[in-house]
Amino acid sequence: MNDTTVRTPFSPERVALLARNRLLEDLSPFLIALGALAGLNVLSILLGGAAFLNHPSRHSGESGWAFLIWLGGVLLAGRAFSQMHNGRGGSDWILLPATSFEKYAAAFVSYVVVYPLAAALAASGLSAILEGLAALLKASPGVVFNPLAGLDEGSVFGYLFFVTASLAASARFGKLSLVKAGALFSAWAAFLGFLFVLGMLLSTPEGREALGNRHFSYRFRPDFDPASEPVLIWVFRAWGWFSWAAAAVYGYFRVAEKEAVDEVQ
Amino acid sequence: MVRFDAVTFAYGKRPLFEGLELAMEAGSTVGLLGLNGAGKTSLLKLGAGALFPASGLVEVFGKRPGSRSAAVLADVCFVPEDPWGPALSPETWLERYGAFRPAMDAGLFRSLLEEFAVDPGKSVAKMSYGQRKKFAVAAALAGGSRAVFLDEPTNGLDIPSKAQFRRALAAASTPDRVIVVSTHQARDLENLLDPVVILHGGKILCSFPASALSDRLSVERLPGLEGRPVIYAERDALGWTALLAKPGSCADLELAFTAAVSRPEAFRAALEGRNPGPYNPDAGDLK
Repeated sequence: MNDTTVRTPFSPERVALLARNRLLEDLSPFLIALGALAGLNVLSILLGGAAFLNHPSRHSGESGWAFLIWLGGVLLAGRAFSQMHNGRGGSDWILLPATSFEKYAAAFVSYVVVYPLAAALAASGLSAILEGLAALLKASPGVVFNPLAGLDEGSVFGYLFFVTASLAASARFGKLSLVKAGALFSAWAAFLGFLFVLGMLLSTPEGREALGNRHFSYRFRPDFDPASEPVLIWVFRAWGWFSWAAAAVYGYFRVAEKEAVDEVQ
Repeated sequence: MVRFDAVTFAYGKRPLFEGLELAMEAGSTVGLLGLNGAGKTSLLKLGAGALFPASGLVEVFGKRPGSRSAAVLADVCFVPEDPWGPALSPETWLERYGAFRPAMDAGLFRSLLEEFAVDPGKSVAKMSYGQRKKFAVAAALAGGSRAVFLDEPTNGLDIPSKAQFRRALAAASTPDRVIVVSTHQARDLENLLDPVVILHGGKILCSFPASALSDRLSVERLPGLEGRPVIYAERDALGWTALLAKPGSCADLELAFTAAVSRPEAFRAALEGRNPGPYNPDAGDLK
């Protein structure tokens, strides 16, 4: 970085440096997790005759690799800003010569773009190696993980949403960010669910009657299928994207507020 | 330069600085002295953008450090008394974080680590307090920032390390940078600090060039104080060790500091070449 770059309010070079540092710091836990998965699957081949992660679930038809990549992204993003909340370490974070936006953008790029690509590549490679080992040991054949199979808008959005929400949780809470955010999210979801059911009941005479009579058994529109209601699908989709954008904006502003207001210990 | 203009700062409802005025010129290594709780660390943090003034202006080379823009943060460096250690070796830290400071001198950083006998391959988080401090000081002096704020840098350093630190500080003092050092151990650094600023009761009690210690003041051992321009004196078994308002043997910075906080008016008068007035040994307690 040169003198000119350091004077610019936004520098892609600083974002790249921050993202690189973040990914290098996450490399050790990532490799440990990968090693543990490799070890467990080798044991599974030796003792159970199959690499369990290469065998799709009977219920969903999907292997566990995709879930593990999702989980890894959520866990890493959930501690993305932990240093910011940590007393003296937080001082170093705040006084590091980069803007709040660059620091947030680096975390976003790291866990939304770079990590899933790297993890998918690593998972595919490990899956192929395990499959080769299984063939060598004449174990039950499985399926090599293909990250592109089953990749659709829903799964991409699901990853994007949960990782962005985890970043927001990490920006908000110093410790146990995912647990606290999960508790808040559950309470909010329960509240929304309650409002939804109440609204559905109040919208029909039978529903209103059911509200006042606890012995009244009532099924609201038994033929109702949300998947066949295009308006409802669009409402849910819009709500999902709105929630994602809100989580991203909230996470960024928490980081910016910390930098703008917090005094160094 | 570093400038504090009518700066007011408080912790909650407890005011620390009210209308503080101070200017530190480029090319100087400023010694900031004061009693415990005088506000030395807070002053350094205000200069580094780590604290925000309630009112007034803090400027470092024409920019407000409180803005915390990347350019300002690259141009200031603050080393706290007990610095945090990243879980990285100094060499890895340099590779990853040195790039954020465009004027970082990697060669100087490595040579300072060598001078301080800090293992460049050991995790800083696992280092002792003194080693972490040496790492932080090396990073600050090699970082190329034009304003460097060091809070009690010699605390926790062993005797050889203090000598190494003095050499490093002398080498790092360049005409374009201000180094501000707060210290209780004035003797460790007294040949390097120029000017000296004494902070007392939330105000700048006085600021004077190091040369004033010999041009305006002197220390003498005397059997009695009568007829002498005494600013401050300490009695011992053989008589008095007195700080006098006259040129002569170079005064000790610690004695000068004690004199300044004990008899501020007399001390200021002596710095201005005036008579400090009569000295009453029984009223010599710290004010």
